[in-house]
Amino acid sequence: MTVNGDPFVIGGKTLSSRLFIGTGKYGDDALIPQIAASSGSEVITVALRRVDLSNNKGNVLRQIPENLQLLPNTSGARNAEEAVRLARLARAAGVGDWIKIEVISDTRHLLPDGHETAKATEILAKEGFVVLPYVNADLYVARDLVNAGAAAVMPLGAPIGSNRGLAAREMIGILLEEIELPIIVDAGIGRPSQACEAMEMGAAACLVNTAIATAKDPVRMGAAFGEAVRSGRNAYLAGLGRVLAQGAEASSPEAGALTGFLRK
Amino acid sequence: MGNQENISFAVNGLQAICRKGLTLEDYLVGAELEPHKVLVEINGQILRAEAFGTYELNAGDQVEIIHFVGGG
Repeated sequence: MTVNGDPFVIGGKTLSSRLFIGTGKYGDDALIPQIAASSGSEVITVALRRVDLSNNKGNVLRQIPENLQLLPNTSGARNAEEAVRLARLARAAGVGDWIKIEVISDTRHLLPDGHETAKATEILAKEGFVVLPYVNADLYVARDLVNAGAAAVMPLGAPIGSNRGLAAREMIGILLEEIELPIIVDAGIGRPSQACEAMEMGAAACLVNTAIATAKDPVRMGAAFGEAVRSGRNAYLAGLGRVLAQGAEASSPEAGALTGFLRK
Repeated sequence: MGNQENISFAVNGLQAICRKGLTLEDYLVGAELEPHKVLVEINGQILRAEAFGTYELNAGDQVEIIHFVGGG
């Protein structure tokens, strides 16, 4: 099913859902297939970590329905070299060639390093990866990513995991104006209304993890985000109505108003 | 004789000991890991899963055993 014949084509795949979901922070990974179903999402992120040899909790992949596109991330990488290493490992696992580049060395605000991200993007795009880089909403970084061969640009709405929404709204708007690649808002979105707004602005998709995982009912919240993203996309395609700078304009015609007639 | 010689190597940053000639696959099974569900790097190089059964651990090897976990 596509929204009014509006499929999202990325990395050679045609997606009918413009919501990407994550798999982090779930108390119980058994929720993941239910959220995949309720949200309608077709792309799901995972991370790579050392196996804890004394307490192996098992592999998250067993909870991910096979029809979903896996999007491994390079979280934990502090520079381009580490991101490239993680990307190659992920691909060696045979889960496809999509990779979300995430390079973070700032431990307080967890902001992504655009320079290192662009370096990793260039290397991996040349190796045939579908590269989805996670960055600040910065026009120059986004242009570097275009030149480096990224498949999309993924600006953060607000600091990762914060649920603070579209704090970077204005800068994301600039990327939407200037960058030809799909803009996927990733990180910080806390409410379905914020995902909806990003889509109304023209974002190609949203990636949501924490807002769903930390909801009281994550399965229902998955559904709410799925609907919000669809709604926002439809609004964008429909073209928002105009805004009056001041004053008001009645929605019903003045002519023939019964009350005016009766007053005479 | 000589068959019982032990070697020392590192797994995920921790020291480990095994008998000489042990394959990576034997090591993984012994550690209760399913070989087809983990990724392995040895001395910084990815070891393809097809090679797990033939790779014999060497003294001083730096082995990283990695898998997919939840993430955003």
